[in-house]
Amino acid sequence: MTPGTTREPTAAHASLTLDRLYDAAPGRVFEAWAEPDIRARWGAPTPRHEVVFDQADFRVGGRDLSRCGLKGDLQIAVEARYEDIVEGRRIVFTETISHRGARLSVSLVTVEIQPEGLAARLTLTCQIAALDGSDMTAGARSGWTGALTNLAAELAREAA
Amino acid sequence: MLQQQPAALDHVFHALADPARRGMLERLSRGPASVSQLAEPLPMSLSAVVQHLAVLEGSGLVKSQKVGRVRTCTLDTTVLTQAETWINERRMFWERSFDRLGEYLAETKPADEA
Repeated sequence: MTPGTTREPTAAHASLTLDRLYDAAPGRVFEAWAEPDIRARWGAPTPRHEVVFDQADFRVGGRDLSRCGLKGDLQIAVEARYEDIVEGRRIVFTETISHRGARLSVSLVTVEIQPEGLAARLTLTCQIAALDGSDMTAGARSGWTGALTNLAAELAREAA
Repeated sequence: MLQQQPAALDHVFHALADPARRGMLERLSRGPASVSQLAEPLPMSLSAVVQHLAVLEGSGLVKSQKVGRVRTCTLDTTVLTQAETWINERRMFWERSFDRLGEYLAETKPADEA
């Protein structure tokens, strides 16, 4: 096998929109984003996962640096840069996600919080550029099959 | 963070789990090849190669076409788009995180909130 070969770089784009209606004051929903201590309580998708903030700086121009993944094995690194913050109502940030040093995606995320009666509607729009073709391996495996093989091993391990 | 994926990706993972198949994919990533060209560097019988090829075709990673007596194999990159898989992962991540946000908000609801 030829060592260190990389695929042709490509990018796939998608726009994801999610919205939820929460029985909570909009200010509390905003605070859940703004406070890293609170963010860590819901920012990981399951109780087996966790997110740890190495840096949190919730202001325009500020950056959050976090790691997430299965507890004790945080393999995903996230860098978020805040581009726009309207207190209580809107957060716009760019988000770069890396796995073992290789960038997987760069996104533009818009979070909007609107009062709806006594509830709060949270809308998230994520415009994602998913980056394909980078060599995700540490160098031990060669070529593009290595990246997917590692991915397969990781998924198998997490499913166990 | 990465969740179990639907069946298609399972077939891909199974296809990638064998070093001989990975070698065949590597060769095909450089261009189409006949079955005998794929078999040439492999220390196994032609029938073993054909069996590996069947796994690769079953996963969607490889397509083959017989013209005359020669079967030519080509790589099908659509199954391999890691980027699309990752996009699905992000959607799942946000959905599940928002579930947990809902739980957090319910658990911490102040007494005087309507």
